[in-house]
Amino acid sequence: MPNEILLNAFSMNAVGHQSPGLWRHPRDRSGEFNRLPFWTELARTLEAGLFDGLFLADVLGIYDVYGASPDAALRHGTQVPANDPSLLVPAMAAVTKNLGFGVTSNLSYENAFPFARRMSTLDHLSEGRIGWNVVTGYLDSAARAAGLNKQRAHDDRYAVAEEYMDVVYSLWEGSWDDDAAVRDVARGVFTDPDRVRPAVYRGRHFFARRGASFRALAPAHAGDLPGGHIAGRPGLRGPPRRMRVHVGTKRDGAEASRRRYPARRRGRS
Amino acid sequence: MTALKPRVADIRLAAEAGRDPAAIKIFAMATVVTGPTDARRGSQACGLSALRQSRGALTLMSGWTGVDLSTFRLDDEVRHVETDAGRTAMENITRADPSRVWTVREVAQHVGIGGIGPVFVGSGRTVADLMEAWIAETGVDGFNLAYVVAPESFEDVVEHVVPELQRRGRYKRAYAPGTLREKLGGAGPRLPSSHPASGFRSPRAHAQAAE
Repeated sequence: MPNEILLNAFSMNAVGHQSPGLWRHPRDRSGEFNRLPFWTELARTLEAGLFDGLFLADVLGIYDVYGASPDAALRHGTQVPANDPSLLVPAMAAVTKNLGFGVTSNLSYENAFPFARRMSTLDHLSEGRIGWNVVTGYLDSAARAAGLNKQRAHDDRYAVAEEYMDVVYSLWEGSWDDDAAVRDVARGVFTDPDRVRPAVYRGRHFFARRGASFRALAPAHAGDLPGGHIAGRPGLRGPPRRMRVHVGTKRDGAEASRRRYPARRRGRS
Repeated sequence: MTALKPRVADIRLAAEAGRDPAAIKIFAMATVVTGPTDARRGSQACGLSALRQSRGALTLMSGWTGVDLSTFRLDDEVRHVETDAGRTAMENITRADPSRVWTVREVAQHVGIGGIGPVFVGSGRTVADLMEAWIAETGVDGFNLAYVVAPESFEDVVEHVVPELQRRGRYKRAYAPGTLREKLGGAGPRLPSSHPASGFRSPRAHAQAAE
């Protein structure tokens, strides 16, 4: 028996996505991207069709390579204007029970901590139905928007991304135990400090040291974010580097944590 | 298919180093133009094509590849150049199929509907045939379906393609319980211990996950 076929809808918080010019079609409503009913109705349609998820693309920059100018993109509505995809999710989650949501977020221009917290918030609010499309961007215009001259070289972007993943995993996996929020009314303890430890990560590009409150209020069944990107990037060829990276990081991270936070390890209450 | 098949194989091969290759779910981008009959959808596809904007398509492709396609003539061949933009779109049209040469005009026409992905046109049965053929040939698990006209493209898939896939036993009739990970076949709500990220768990969290 062959496997069941998985289906996502692929869209973007923008007018037009993969068919430039079709916004002129008399029945196209993608121009309503900035109104919630467009998205809540779409979410209901997809759930009625048992779609696995709605996968939302995103770009932070304008397509200004063609003609060395943003004019063509602006004139033809080529993925511009484009709003933040993640903010659509709570509204759509509120009108569905099972539909998944994949959100594209470019890790090149955002600190890992606020990003990880935002995704955790979406994980909680959607009750475990959020995924992350991990991307590093391809537009220099996005780098310029972030105050840089141009984006990092291609392979450097992926090296940074490897570390960024370590940082967010250390925040999501290494900080709070699932049962840390004991909510013990009798003892007056909301969170057991022994079940929380700082997420410590030290790498070439990042140094993270935060006590992050990501798991504490998650529904019992909410899990980590499924994520990944299907493009054929060179980093996927050959043996996966992550396996080796993570074996070392785990031990180093735990030792560093004990060295820096002895009091925290003993607890405070 | 030529571009996709080796990438799927690469991903599954890489996973073998520590994870179950089948646990990685791979969705290929595709665009569906469907309706009750092949003929009706065929004529509609022509109408949709008339609304394409070539310059918009080349604007996308220039952004994806980092190559300013406005500096070429429409009948020029697109040749491989390495830039610091994305790599996939350029690979697809220059290297994935050595027997195929793309002109700028052909790129504009292809990308104009459904971006760099394939377009499946026809009745629910025809589209289901195409989906099954793509899966059999490339090893993907499913599709990210882009739209041509929103939300109509998605409504058409729900009305015409989903019931046909269900008849063939190739599509669920109800959602599985649990989180998105569990619905997609994961053993539990959390990442499995074989995933590299589990290395960040505390000893206590490891013990809990093993329970």
